[in-house]
Amino acid sequence: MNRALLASLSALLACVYVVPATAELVPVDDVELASYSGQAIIAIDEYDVVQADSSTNNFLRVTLGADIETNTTIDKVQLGTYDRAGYASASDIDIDNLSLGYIDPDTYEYVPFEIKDPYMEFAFSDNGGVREVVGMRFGAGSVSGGLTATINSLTGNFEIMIDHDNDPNTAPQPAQLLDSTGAATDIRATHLGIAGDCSSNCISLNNLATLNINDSTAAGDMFVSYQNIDLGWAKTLNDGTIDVNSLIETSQGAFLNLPTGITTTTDALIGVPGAGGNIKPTRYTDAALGLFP
Amino acid sequence: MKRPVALLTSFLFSAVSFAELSPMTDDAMSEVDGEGLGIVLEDYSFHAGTDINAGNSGAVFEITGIKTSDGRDVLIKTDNFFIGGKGSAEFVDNGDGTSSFVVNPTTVNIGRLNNPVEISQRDGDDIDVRAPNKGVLEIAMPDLVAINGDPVWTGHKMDPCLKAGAAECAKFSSREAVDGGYRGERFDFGLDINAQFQESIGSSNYTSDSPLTLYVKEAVFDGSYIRLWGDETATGSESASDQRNLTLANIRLNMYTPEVLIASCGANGDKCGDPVQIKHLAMDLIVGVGEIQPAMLSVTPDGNFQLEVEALPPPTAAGQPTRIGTILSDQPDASDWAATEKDFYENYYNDTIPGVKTKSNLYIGDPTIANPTFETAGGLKVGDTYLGTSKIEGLQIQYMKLTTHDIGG
Repeated sequence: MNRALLASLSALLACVYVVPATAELVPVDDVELASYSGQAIIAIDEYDVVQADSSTNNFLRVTLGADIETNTTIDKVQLGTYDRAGYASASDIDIDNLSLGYIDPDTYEYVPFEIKDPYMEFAFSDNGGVREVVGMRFGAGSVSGGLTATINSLTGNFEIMIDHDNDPNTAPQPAQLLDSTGAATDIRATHLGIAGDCSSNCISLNNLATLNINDSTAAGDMFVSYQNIDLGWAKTLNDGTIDVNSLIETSQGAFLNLPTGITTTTDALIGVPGAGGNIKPTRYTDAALGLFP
Repeated sequence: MKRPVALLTSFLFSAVSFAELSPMTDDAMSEVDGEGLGIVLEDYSFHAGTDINAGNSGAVFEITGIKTSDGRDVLIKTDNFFIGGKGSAEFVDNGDGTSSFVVNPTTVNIGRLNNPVEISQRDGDDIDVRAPNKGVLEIAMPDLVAINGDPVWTGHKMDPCLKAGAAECAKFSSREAVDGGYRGERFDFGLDINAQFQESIGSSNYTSDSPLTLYVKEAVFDGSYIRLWGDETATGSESASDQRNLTLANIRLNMYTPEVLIASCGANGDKCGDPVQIKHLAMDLIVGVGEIQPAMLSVTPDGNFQLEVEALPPPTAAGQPTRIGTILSDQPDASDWAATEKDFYENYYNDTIPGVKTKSNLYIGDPTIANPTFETAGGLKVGDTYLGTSKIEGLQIQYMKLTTHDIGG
């Protein structure tokens, strides 16, 4: 018996006399295995959009495949705070006490806000053969649920249909963002309604009811964007398709696109706190505001 | 011959050991506090290479398996991924209206011996953990340092907490680099990333390069942590119905960077257009608050990931125990509440629960400065256009459930 043979014999015995392990790996059977598939939770899309002025911008979107339900409150949102000649408000978007979702005042249960397929997107322009970032936005394929906010200043698009308070025979028409005099503006607006003298069909954005929004409308997705040029962003259809021929036009600065799918009167949009009111509680301490019966 | 025989004998007569490692109970684990590892990386730098097809060193990361929403494959290439000290990269002016992204990582220390990155076992009964009777695994970045006795980064505004020499609040223990002095513990990181898109489903051609370059300067993450524990055992005031048999978590992400640059560059990082500049980015993000409102990580039966931040418990029937203690009223009416109950909700909503934070904040620039400019307050600049400062302040997740689903073709 030479050394090599002894070494081989030793190795063989080592295998025979190893301490038995009681832990074991259990194979997954075919039926169970078949239930698993590759779950791609991220999609990346790149596309061109022809703008209203016939120029073309390229876009890159990263989408997270996710369904989110949430009750979230935010004390203060101020986006785009800088000097902007001709406007009194300091910020493009200035919102106090923004709440997504609310608390059912009778059952004390959360009624969540639902967000589907959130995304982040960059916009590029071609500047003499050099590719430059000209904007970015954060949005969602679709949203629905209760939204409560005290809006001090809004740059953007607030999609809501106004059913004329004093003229029920007139067809509903899209609300406009207004300044305090009732003049239409989509920059640092403080009021909402039909352009005029703000004596009727015109309400302040800082006293709104809780809105039950549902963006499955022609107004496109809910998003916040920043861009350094006036830029059209593509709408997302309800099946997730990006429609490059249907754009939300945004202006330079910070911009909030807020589709609601609501048709109502301006009176019904005015927030009424307390019992029988239309402002939903969003914190359990809202009892102090009389928001629970 | 003696050695082989001895070897053979040792195998034949080796003792079979039945000693076993016994799991510690949660009670036993919860008595352990602060035992763990401190990690400090000194003179550290990392650079993951450049595209070999362009004649460089290689070592490019490629990510496959991602698709477009219409089902085409997307190939993600990342190169120039780096972590280093101050000045590890720069956009060098080409003199023709473009710049080139050049990476030459310097070294940095990540963590200090007196404030290292830590992996430790925490006592869940600690006031800043609030997972009673549980042993909690914590992975934490270096500590915040108390000034004037205040142990918590107030986080409600950028000043004075994030600036050198600030008083009246906590500050980061990781120091800025000093030219000719110490390296500091704040690190630069960044990467070039390029998405290439399959021409059509089944095609072997990839087109439409879509490159982005990200450069984050002197980032500091002090005070960030992830805490994990299990909840298989009902203890304390929990009833059996409270058992979730899940991994529970609390996550806090603190980050401050004086500057972030995002640009779109050509091959090899050249021909970059004007970058997006974010000057003074600060965030303090909270996901889960102790066992009052833990985050729960799980996988659904169909294989998707789920993250839930448990709903804040509502006032319930009088005397019914909940995770926050015994509720003495069945009405969410502050006038009927016992003092402890009222205190709990008011403290939660006011972010004044001792030891823990319940609200998140995000700042781009210093929003406390009136009539801000990019030079004075920082903020967001896209190309030559200043788009101001921005903030999202006092964000409180009272409930959230995120469930992923299959997307992409």
